[in-house]
Amino acid sequence: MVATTVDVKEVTLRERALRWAAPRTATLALTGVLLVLATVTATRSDVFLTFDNLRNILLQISVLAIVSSAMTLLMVSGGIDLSVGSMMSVVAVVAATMMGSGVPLGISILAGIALAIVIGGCNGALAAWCPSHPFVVTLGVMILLQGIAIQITSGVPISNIDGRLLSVATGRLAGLPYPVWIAGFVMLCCGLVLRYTVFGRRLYALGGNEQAARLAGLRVKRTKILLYAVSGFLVSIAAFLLTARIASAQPLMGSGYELQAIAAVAVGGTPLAGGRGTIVGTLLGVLLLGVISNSLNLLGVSGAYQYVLQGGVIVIAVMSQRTR
Amino acid sequence: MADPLQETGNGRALVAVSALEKRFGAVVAVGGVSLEIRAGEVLGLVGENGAGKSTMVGLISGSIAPDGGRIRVDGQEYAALDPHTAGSLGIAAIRQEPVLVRTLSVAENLVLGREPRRLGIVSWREVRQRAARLLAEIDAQVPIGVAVEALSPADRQLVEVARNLGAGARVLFFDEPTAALGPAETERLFELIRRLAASGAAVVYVSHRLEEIFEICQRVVVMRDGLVVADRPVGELNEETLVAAMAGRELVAQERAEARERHESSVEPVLSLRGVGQGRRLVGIDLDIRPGEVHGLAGIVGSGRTRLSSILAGLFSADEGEMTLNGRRYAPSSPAEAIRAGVLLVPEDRLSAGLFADLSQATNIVFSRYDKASRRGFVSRALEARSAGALLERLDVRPRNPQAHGRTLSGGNQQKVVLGRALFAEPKVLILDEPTRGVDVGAKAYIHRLVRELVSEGVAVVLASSDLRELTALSDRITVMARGRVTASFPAPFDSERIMAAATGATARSS
Repeated sequence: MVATTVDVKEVTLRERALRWAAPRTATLALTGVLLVLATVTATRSDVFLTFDNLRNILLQISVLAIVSSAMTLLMVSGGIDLSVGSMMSVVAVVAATMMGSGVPLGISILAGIALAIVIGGCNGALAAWCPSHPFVVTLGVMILLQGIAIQITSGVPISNIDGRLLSVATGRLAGLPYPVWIAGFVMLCCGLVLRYTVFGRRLYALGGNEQAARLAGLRVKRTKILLYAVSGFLVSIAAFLLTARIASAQPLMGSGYELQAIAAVAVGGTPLAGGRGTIVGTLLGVLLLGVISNSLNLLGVSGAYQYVLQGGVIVIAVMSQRTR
Repeated sequence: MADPLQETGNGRALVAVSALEKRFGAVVAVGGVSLEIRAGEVLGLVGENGAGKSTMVGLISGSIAPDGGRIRVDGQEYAALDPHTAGSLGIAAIRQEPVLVRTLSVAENLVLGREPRRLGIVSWREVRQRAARLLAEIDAQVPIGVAVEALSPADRQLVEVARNLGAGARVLFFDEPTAALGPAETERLFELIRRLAASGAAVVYVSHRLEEIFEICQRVVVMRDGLVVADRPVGELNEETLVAAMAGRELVAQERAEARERHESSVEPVLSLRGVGQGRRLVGIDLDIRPGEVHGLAGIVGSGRTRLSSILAGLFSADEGEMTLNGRRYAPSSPAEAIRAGVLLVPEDRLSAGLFADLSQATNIVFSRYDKASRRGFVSRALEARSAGALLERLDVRPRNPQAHGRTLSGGNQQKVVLGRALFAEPKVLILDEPTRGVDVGAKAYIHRLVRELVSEGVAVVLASSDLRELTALSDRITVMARGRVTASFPAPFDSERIMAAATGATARSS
């Protein structure tokens, strides 16, 4: 015992700095990568550092930021939901179909949100009772929902979206588009939930040691259902923002978001196994993805290479976290 | 016991380390240790938690790189060993938590990396034969076809021992090997260790159970604060001098329980079981647990002890019988329900089933009762630390930092934190499964004292343990289980031999 006690007062500044940095290596490394990327782009392109371009980046990542926030909650708890992309599509096409057949805008949106919460809750129930990892079972749900979205629309985009919904994508507050504010608010809430609520602590406990959490009195199944339902709710917000931005509801509009979100969350330092991770990390992950594609566009890199570079950066970012 | 030194005529040093050093940051774990590990000898390595024993094991078996000093094996000098080199030199560490592939079968684990092949294809018949032979050599009855994760900790350890022997180990470190073993298995292990030493192998035996040191070691090395403070033949030591050398101070004497009869005659049971059963694992269990008493549960691994604890804690449901808690029917369907009723379990597998390694001390403590450490669902580190503070203080958890993550604590302090979580929930019935498994003498005495304190505060403690000395020292009554049944129940004072007889299958019933 004696040998392991360190007098806190005698610690030098350098050691304190190291101690502060040690648990934050992933965050710091990611910030570094972002800065390097931004510097390189800024020296090659006059446009990059303009307010218009930065605002554009934020607008482009706002939908992904919301989906990634939901994914962070899931992944911190050791869960995952692959169906979030298809869920966005289903929610958007259902609400758009309702609007098209004369249902008032507000009711259509509420119905969409309610649908997402129900689907999320079902995913939670599946995750709670399914003996294998939720990865597999939500993969099934993803395909299932994709089919439903195509069936509803017969594969054709619905483009007569209510103008009031469209104005969400175009309106601005204090210079920034509404979607940026909404995404920021969602991230802030998720960050607060993770850090300052009992529910958040339970998610870390669940991801860190599910057996111990159960033994310590956590109602594991109930918690999972609630969590996936919350995730569904957030996903529905993302679905409506995306609908407003592309001015239509399409059966494949959400596909790919699940993987981008997982990439952003993983790059941000949340392990697939859960138990750790922060919203700040996810924000950096989302920013990285946004800045990469923006930079590559500005630098005139062709689409195929964009994929290669984006994938490469994700691989490097995730590998660099393994040093711990 | 025959003296293996004479039998083999061989006291040659297989491993000799000199001025070995290891620092972790500012902490000196091992500060210049020299010692010899001799062929044909069982060397006892003792010391409190943090004394540097496990670090020494790691340094010599190659899992930890030293900062200074030399390691000589068979006359060849090394500045550092890696696990592969150490393994090929025949040095193997049997760990407290065996390093096995949980999802593979026992047989696969036993031959891992050395699978017998025919024409490049794994010969499963030979794998099974070899596995069975390895287990037979140590007299272990472990099914070879099941996955390791389905085994009890005791059986896992046996598999680990067999695996290392199969790999040709001749310098073996046993780190708390009997912690999870019943008396019969322990005796078998001792015989095996004696046989190994007699055949010229060197055994280093790390244990907190001093009586075991006296039983099988020829020489004892005592470590304290990273240094060797004694290195003597076992004959020159007795239990007092050894404890004094380890602790550097007088050990607080065990406080023995006061009168017991007053209870059983005057106090109503808080928890009663009548005919509780579950499949073939548990049959017709009757039990009365009274407030203010320690009720010991004795029994070897597989006796149903742990299963019974789990049922009390709501992890499993009984499928027959009745349980009543404070006169009301008690049939918890989840640990959450049990905790609300005031029944808490501190599990045997504390680290994998108890600790949240990436959460703070404070969070770990308050987790079961956030209603006492949150405001309308909101928490803050400060609020958690305040709520957990008194308990962290009482348990003397080091370092004194409620924000320190579970991962960073030493083993003994992790145990305290998991215990603290149960105490924070204000238990009426506290079930402790192997509460001192793998902790040092100081911490063990502390936990024993705490148990007596809790009992005097009116808590009912159910103490499931395979350490008979602990059971007899702490319990007011001991119920003995074997093969899923209660075979006997004894009031204090106890006769260890009768308890052992009841635990190993003799059906003497008494009360």
